[in-house]
Amino acid sequence: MNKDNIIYQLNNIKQSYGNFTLKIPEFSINAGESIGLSGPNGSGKSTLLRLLALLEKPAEGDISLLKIRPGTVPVTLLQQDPYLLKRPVFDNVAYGLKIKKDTTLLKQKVQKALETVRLDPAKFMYRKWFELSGGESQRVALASRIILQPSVLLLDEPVANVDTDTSRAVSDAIRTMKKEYGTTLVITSHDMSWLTTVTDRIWKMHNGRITGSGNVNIIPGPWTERENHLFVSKLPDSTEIYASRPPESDSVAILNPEEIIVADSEIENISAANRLKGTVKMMFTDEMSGDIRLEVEASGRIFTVLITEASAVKMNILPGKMVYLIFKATSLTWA
Amino acid sequence: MDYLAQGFLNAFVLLFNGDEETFSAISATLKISTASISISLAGGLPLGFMLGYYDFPGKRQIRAVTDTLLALPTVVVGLLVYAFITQKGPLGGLGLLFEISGVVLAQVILVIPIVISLTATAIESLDERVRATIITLGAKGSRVIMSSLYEARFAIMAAGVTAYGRAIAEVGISMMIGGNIKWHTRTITTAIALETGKGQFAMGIALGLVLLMIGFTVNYALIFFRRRG
Repeated sequence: MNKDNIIYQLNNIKQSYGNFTLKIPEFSINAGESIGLSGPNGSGKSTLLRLLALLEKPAEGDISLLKIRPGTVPVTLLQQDPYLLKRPVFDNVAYGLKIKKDTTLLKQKVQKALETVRLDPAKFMYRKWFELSGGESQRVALASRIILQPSVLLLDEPVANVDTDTSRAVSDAIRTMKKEYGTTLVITSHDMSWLTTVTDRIWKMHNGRITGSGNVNIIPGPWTERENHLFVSKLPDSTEIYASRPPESDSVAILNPEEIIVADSEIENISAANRLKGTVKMMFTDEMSGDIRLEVEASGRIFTVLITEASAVKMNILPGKMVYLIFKATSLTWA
Repeated sequence: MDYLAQGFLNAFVLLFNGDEETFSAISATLKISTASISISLAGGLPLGFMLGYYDFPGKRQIRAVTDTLLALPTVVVGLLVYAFITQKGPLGGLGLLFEISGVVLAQVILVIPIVISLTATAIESLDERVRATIITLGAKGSRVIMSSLYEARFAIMAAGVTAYGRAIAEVGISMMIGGNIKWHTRTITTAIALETGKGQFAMGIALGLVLLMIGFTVNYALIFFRRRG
């Protein structure tokens, strides 16, 4: 990472709510980068975004926001299920600029922001906040942030519970922000396939920790010891996953997609300890590696697997096909 | 029941002929209630905001006291204020007894807990996302407070209307502090009480109708502003 280009520097962050603790020893983000954050509910994505938005101060550690474009709003956050101010669309979108007393060409700027999120200004500009559908509200809220041309735009689940048109409009707006204004973006989503289309890097979060980047699979504990120095954790359907000795009983294991072998029939005699039967749910080209990325549902959760295009053709892999996922206990490493 | 029908008929005659005594009571009522609600809003809105928005030691206790004062009987306020502003009282030198200013003072004591309590409730009931939204859009300091108040404006307007209703409809304070002096401190409610006691229903009904009309106008204004958004 180029240290001169760092926009966010996080050191020894700790933030707790009840039993949950977000703990990030060190993390940095480059200016102009699009970062994706993925992880299950309660993994700490929204908490991290609130810290990055400077809405909260961490209980421990520090967050430095560097490399701000002069004269811009440093950072703004679009919350999950965003709130629209109780005023017409125009006043919602113009609110931030009015605060900055930047009211020159205000109407044109509002129009442009609405067009960026694919809302017809003539139709929507003077609508009341309660005359909008969920997707339209989401777009108006996004336009209210876009108009500020922030140095950093944080988006918390921007395409959760929205229709296809809104999802496409949000994706286009994200690309526009990056291309036209060099905005740094941090986006959380459960939708990995969507996230890969709008971000440069994806970080996985689990239980308040950043556990790895890219397409890694996360296997949470608790781990209990079995024979031959193996440790097991249970998947949602109680299938056991074998791993080598974890640092702690509740450690999180990381399984790289490249470590998983895909077979189209069950192999009985094989040294690998882990064999899972699953169904291919989705397949697409992985923009980072150029390989084929499979999303396989096995034992009640989704595993990401990378295979070459040649293997996919040879095995005739298609969505809906039943496959076996095979990996060694030692393939699981520790976060 | 003829006397009631006759009362209604005479009431309209009094109103449309611009009966001076009737309009004197209306004028006194509007003067007193407008002054008391204005002072109560000026003091009560910021206090209500602070009580609803900030956390501080003793907040719950203050809230409990304020909420209790919502049910303050008007005659108790009248009694206490009377004791303070009577010639022998600590504020006797101010000459507030049997004056409009004295009634205003007592009505402020009656009404300000309503403004504080309902404003605090309105602020507490605000969507928790409001503050984060306003701040992430660049608001700081007093702008966060003003925008939060604006987001709660319908509930705050309702608080104002409720407080105004209490001020305009009370009779105990006006009677005890104002003394129901004709052409001076006689209000709509004290006049109704007096005229009814005398069996003079026409003026009572006329003033009752005016009171209802004022209440209707204030509430309709609230509905109008709500519709306009």
